[in-house]
Amino acid sequence: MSWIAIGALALVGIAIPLAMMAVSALLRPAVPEQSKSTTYESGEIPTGSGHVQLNIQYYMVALLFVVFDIETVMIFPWAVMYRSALEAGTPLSQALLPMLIFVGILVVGLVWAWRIGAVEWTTSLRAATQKTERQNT
Amino acid sequence: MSLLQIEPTSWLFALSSLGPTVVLVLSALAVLAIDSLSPDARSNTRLAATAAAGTLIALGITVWYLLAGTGQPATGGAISLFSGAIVVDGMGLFFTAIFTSVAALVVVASYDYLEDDANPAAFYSLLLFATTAMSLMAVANSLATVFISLEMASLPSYALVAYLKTNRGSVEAGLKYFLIGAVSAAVFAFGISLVYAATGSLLLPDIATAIGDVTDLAGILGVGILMVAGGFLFKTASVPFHFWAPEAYEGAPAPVSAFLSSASKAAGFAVAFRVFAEAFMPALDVAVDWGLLFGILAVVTMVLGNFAAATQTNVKRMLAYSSIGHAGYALIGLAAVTAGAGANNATVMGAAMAHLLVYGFMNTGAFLFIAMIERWGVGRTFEDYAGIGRKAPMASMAMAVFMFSLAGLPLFGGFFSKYFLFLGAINAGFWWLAAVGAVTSALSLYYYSRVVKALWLEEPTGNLDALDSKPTGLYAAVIVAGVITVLLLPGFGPVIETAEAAAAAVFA
Amino acid sequence: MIIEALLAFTFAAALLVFAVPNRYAHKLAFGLSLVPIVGSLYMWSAFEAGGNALTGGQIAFETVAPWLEVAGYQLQWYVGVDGISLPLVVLTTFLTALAIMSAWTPIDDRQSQFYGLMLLMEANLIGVFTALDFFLWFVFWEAVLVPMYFLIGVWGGPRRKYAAIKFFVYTNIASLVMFIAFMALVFSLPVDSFGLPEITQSLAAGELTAFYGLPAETLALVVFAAMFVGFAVKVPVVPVHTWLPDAHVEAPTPASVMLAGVLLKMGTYALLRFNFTMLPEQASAFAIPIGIIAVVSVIYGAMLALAQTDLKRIVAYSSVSSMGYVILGLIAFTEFGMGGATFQMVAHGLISGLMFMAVGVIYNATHTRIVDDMSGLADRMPVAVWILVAGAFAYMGLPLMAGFAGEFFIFVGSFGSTALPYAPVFTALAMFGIVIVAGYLLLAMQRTLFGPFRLETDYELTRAPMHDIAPLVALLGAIVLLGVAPSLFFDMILDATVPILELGGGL
Repeated sequence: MSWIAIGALALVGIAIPLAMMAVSALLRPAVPEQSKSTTYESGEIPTGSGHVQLNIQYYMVALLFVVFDIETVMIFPWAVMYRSALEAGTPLSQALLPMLIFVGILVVGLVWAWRIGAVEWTTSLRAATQKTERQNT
Repeated sequence: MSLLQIEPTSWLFALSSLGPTVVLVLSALAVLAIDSLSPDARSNTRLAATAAAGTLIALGITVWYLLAGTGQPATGGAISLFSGAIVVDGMGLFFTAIFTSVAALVVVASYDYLEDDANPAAFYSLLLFATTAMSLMAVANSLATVFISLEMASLPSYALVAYLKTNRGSVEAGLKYFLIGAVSAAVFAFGISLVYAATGSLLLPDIATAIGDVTDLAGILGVGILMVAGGFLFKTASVPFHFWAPEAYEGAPAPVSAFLSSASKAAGFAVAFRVFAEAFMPALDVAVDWGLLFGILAVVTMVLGNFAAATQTNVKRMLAYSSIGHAGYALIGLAAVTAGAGANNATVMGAAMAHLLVYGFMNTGAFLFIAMIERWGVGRTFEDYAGIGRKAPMASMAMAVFMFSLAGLPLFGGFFSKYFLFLGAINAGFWWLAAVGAVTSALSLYYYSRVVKALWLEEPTGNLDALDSKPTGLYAAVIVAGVITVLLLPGFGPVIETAEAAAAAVFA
Repeated sequence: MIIEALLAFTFAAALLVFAVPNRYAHKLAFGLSLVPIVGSLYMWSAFEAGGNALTGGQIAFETVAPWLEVAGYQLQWYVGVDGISLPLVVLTTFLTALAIMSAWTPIDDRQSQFYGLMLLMEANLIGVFTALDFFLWFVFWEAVLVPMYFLIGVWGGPRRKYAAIKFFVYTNIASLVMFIAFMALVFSLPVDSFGLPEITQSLAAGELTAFYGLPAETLALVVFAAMFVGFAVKVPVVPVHTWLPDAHVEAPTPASVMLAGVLLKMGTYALLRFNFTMLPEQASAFAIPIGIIAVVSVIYGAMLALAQTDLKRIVAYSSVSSMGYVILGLIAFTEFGMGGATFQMVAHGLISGLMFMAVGVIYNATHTRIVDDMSGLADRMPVAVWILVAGAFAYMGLPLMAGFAGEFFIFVGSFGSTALPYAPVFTALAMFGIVIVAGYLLLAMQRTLFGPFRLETDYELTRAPMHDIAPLVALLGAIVLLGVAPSLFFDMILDATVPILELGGGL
């Protein structure tokens, strides 16, 4: 029976916004005007394409960042527990070794990424020319 | 209870029990380390050898454990590690044997496929990490480890599908696969949270015991189980989460298609079999009849996969749909499960496991044959395959073996695995599943034999000079897969016995 | 162990021939194919068993080993021969070697694959005739199809693809029907293995139970019908014969020889082993329809042959006709009927092999098989032509040739049959078929071989070479030998078929 209530709630939840949009569409006057359909109404007139290409290397750095960000999430509770665990008599092989292995695996990955040049900021020839062109105009 | 009060698992014991997984992860790291030492050298041979050695050693350890009875009732039952989050038993080892064999074949084949690749280390390490994750999926005994290992297997797969960065098809396939994968992972995680809400545990055995007391939360539990099932259906490319499969298998490099359609599918089933057999059995009466759900989905998947495959003109896409059809066959292993019928359940699930093993070889071989064709650059359609048997008889003969075995002609391993599966379904009272399976198998002979017809019966239409080059690694992998497919007919006994014993241990 | 040795040798020979270069393949394959002949002749000479293998008689060269277990049933490696299967094993080895020899001229492409497939098929055929476990038998049974599919599809004539696929589809669907029916039968029996003797004896003891609500009597009838259909396609009988002329016409000569000589006998052998030995009561319940099918096959097959202009098609349709006699002999359920039918399997294997081979020799020389395109060949290639004529007479049942013995036994047996109502009518109608056979064969011979020489193709007609003639002579010799001394095989055949009659309640 409780499911009926939830279902009813969902129905009402969908119905209210739909009803509001429908009612306002009926009541409001229709004044079509071109400036209403611009990107920034009563704002700047946009120039150029909205299609901006970011350098792919931002994503490489971002990915590496995320990896180490997540790593922190894992390390934090471990760091909190570590001292009390040692005091409770947990041997180092149980308390410290797992984290060393975990970090070690990440380090292998990082070293590899470094060595194949994933974090090297190479300059793109095409991007450089485009930049100078923009500055000249 | 504080975490500290739990008896810690001995590291050495855990490492040796998880031997195959450890070897796989070490070889993946070794691949990265070798490449880090000399990133600019042409090191394809070294990397392929490391990866192949890793998978083969892992396979050897798995087979040794299976023969020695590790984690099986004869030697004291399943080995529980890390507070029960991981359990090493016959089923886990059986599936690990599938993953490692497929990975070994794919690695050996990729050696030729990646000959001109700038940086093959990424490929091998991704492949090995995915295999590692699959071997973890096979032994995961808690919904948390299930989820993490499933994601660990999926993420490298997305990258592998999109591995050909400059190929539009490959990138598009990778994106589609990733998007559908992300959605299904979300559904799956939500399902886990609902199951946890209803039962208060993530450990599979604890869930099973708690299901009896859920009473008014049965609805929540039911929705949770359905969502968890959705996650598995994605991983196994079953209806209704199959849409990614044709695109991904067609767009991906063929060795990756081989890996995904064989190993990744098997991994999905490994974890689905364990979760549903161990945790959700009592829910059949309480929350939701998931057996019926899987039954309907199995029928739809078999029919859709086989009929769609029959209409294809592109061979790789045809195999992709046929792979969906085979997911339907394996789903019978879950569909024919009924509460309180332990022996029948174990028989049919064991048969599904054996089918996945045979499928691992025949389907991997078929996709690797396509990898060979891709490397020769002959073309993709049935017409392009015309007359290849004349120039490359050994490989074409192996392909004929794969096709006839996939169709279930009683000459190769594929016959027994299907026969046992259908027989198990009939014995469990699900004759309609067996009937649909038999009819769709008969239909499948039509489209599988089209490949054989093109290879052997047609006259060559295009220029086949490219076939003069003989890629050694690909040839070796295809022929080994072919020989094993043939040998699995006389040697099916040990396979089915191991599988059924492993399944029986899970249901016990 | 001799059967295992025979099988292992033939499989190994097939693999070896696959691996050698094309130019050595023919000689090597022929040399290797002589060894199984020696093996099968040794089996013949050492054969001492009596009775039918399925009904509890002695089984010669028997070996049993467990294979695997399924749902409480034991699958076995179970082989052995009795008086029915041994002649067919001898026929297989003999005909394969000759077919390989006759392939010298027509096969000029991908030889090692061709001969490899021929040997592979031989191995599987030996397996079909010796296997006594259902699954083992079924694997061999299906494994025969694949080499034949390739032999027709790769080395065949212009419409080879169509013919190969038609052959493959017909026989595979038939196998599926038969397989499902047989499974239903076994699961309704209290047996714990798929061994054919055990199943037969359990059926004879009346242990058949209901299956999914289907009463035992109905089940037996349904299973009999389904298995009959499944095997009838292979035989083939009218109306499921249409794959045969296509397959024969398109197949290369050696494949035609094997197809007509041995593969068709798989169908009648299976009918005898499964339908008539395991379910004799159901057979007599269906006696009239089966008798009609047999007679229609005889007459209709012969009429169709009469209407053909292609020599190979004539021989192909006459095979349909001859197989009708075999079915008639089987359904008669008499000593001579069943024995004669089994004997006719061997005899027809040799005779139709000879006919296809002789037509092939003529085709090699003339490059046409159309009757109207040639006449008066007798002057130019006398030996080949006279052997063809001799073969035609053997087909018509000339006394002192194997065909006469087989047909005579069948007619004697079927005339006095009590199991088949109106047996004399059926027999008389079937005998009328012989007249038509004589008609079309003589007509075709007269038009092509005799009269003034004329050939519509641009080929120089020369005498057939020795390697083409030698297998013909060998076959003719065998036909005459069996015609003069049918007891070479007939005694052991009777030994094995009479127990079937006793099992059927002395019908």
